[in-house]
Amino acid sequence: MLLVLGLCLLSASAANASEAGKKYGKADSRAPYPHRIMLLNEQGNGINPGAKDLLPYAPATTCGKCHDYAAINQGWHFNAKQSNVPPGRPGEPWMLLDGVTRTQLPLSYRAWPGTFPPAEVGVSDWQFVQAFARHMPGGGVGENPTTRPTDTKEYWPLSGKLQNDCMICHDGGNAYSTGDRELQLKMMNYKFSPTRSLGLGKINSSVGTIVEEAAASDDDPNKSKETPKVAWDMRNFDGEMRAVLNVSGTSSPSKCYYCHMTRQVAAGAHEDWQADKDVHLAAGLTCTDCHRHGLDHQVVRGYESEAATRKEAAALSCRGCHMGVEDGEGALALGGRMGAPRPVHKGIPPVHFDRLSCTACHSGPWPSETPVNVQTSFAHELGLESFERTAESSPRIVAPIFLRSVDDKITPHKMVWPNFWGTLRSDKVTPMAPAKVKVVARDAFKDLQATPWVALTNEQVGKVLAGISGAKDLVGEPVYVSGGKLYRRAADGKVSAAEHAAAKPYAWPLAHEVRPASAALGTRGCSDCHSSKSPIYFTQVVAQGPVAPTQALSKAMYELRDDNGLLAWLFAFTFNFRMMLKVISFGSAAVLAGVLVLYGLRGLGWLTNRMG
Amino acid sequence: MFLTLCIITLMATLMLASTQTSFGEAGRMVAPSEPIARQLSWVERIVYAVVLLCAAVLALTGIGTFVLTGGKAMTGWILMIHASVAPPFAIFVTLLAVIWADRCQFVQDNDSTFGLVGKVLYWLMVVLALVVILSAVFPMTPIFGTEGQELLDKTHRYSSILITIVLALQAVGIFARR
Repeated sequence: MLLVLGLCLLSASAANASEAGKKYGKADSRAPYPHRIMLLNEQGNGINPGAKDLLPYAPATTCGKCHDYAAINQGWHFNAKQSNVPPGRPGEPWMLLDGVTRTQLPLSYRAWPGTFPPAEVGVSDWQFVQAFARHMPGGGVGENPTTRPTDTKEYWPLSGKLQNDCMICHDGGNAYSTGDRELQLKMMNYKFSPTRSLGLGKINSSVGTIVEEAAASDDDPNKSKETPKVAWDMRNFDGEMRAVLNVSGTSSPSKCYYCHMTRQVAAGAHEDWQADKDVHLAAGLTCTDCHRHGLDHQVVRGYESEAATRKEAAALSCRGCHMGVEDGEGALALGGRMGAPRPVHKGIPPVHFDRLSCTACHSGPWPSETPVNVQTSFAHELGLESFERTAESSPRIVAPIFLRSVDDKITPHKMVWPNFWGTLRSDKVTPMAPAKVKVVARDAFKDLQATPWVALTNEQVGKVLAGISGAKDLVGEPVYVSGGKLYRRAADGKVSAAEHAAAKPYAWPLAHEVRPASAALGTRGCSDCHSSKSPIYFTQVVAQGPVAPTQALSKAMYELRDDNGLLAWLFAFTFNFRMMLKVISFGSAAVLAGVLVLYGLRGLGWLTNRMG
Repeated sequence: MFLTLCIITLMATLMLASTQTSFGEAGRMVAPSEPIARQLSWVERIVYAVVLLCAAVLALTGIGTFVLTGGKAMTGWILMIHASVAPPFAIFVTLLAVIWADRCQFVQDNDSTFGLVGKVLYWLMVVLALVVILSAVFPMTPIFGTEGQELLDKTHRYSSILITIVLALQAVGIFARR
């Protein structure tokens, strides 16, 4: 009996295993797999565009039919809100911006030090998606929103969830329109955006319109039975009503650039066409040649200390690719992957590689007397058409700023100073949501609305702080963080500013664009870094943002690293005598060698005489 | 291993320096006739004193830092001191080499300032000084890559230990009281 039972269980598990194996068929080939596929809607039902099916296609069911969608959504691009995901090295935050309140606040779900969780600032998941989904691939908070903080203006039942839109990265051609996607997201057509973005059809209405109409008639928009509808473009389908999709297993750099682009702006910056692309791309590599992942989409970020938590990432860091992995096996231990040249680093004492990251010399804008202003996709909506974006658009991000990274190596960073209103309690500042600030201090902001982002005077700051102090549920002292300083209003109305931990800038390491060896720091000699004018030590970094330059905090690069300035200057000063040191050393060595040769020959002569 | 050698070197050097009064026999091996210190001219004494002083500072900053930090390289003020004292050491050890070369020839017996051991120590000092100086200055040139730099670094470290020992033994012999 037991034997029969055991056999039954065994066959059942085998059946399940074979079912699981059959669920996701794999081609296991580098050759692109033609995707002529039936589109599925969110219920998993096939879409017949010829029969004018009105629901959009859903990536979760369509792509998920053959690819483990749940596993993919654990990937780095989608897992920011998952509490069990190690945050890793700090990265670029999302910037909450409000010109009237002069707010620029770094937000992140990953709890990187210096960023704020959106909920802490009163930003609900709905608001977060509304603000930032333009440069998010979907999934994550867009697909699994929470209800805290509560938001009376969220319309998930109407908009649908923002699923992971696989084709934003995996479109093999140029069919995917991020501009169309942005419009759909603005209209709150979340579940419709994959269909429209890929050009599969038009969406004939918008959730935003439905919401407005419902609100106008005092109805609850979430109970509306209206819904946008899809008008399919039949040119995308074959005779069997299968969508003909150009799907690429690896993404081209143009896909990555949409979200991960940086450009130099402001006075003195060169034009876009003058900027060289990353040396790896120029050599024919793509982003995904280094930033790889498997089905789990756990993208290798590529920094050196990543290997501490992910051993397989070691071979894909700068050092791992170029020089090999010390405890690696086979070819991985050798380095030179994909033709990566093995660096010789002539004339550079090895201590530099203990103190500096590879990117310190090889990445980002060439260090100059003042840091360069840069704009990014995340912060400045690069990749989307804008008539308002200028070189001075907020937030003001500067680079390169040489700080010590998580592995204690000097690494170039991008840096932004937070600017916000908040409350101070037990020496900790909690930001206030811009909308709330505008309400509680509405009188003070009446005159300020016309001049967004313009720096505030102390008097204006004092008026706003006075307005905030009148808020009913206020906990703590109202303060203003700006330009690296904390502004407080005394009882007599005077406003004073001082340095404070809450006003510290937020910085995140940069790694691109990588410059070739001929354009790396040190190519002109030691004085690139070891001189009294060296940017890596002595560049003055002035806090930027909606703050007057005279009021902004200014620190030298070495101060930002808590290094000793006198030592830095003195050490740089000694390099003026480096040539003299070399002359003395080589001269002394020549004389010593001369003594050895002369007396050695004398001794040899004496010996041969004795023997003769 | 290098850390162990550093510790041994420092301890041996300090021991030799502190017990030089009992090394009469060593002194005789270094200088058979009378203590060398009395036979030196004032120029030689100054040059030798500077060499010893510089060597002591270099040993303390280099080897001492390595021992005290458990194997870390010099940084900051220690590195600056080390790099600042290195040129005077190079100059004065070269002067010493030139000044004492004749006296330390093995082929001539007319100068009994130095005994056999003293002469051997002298020539070891010259050879090691050459190695120490070159292994310190070549990394400052764009000739050697990382592997070469690491080799030069090791060469500098081990030759520094050896020259420290040689100078300590030499000093014992020169200053030993009979």
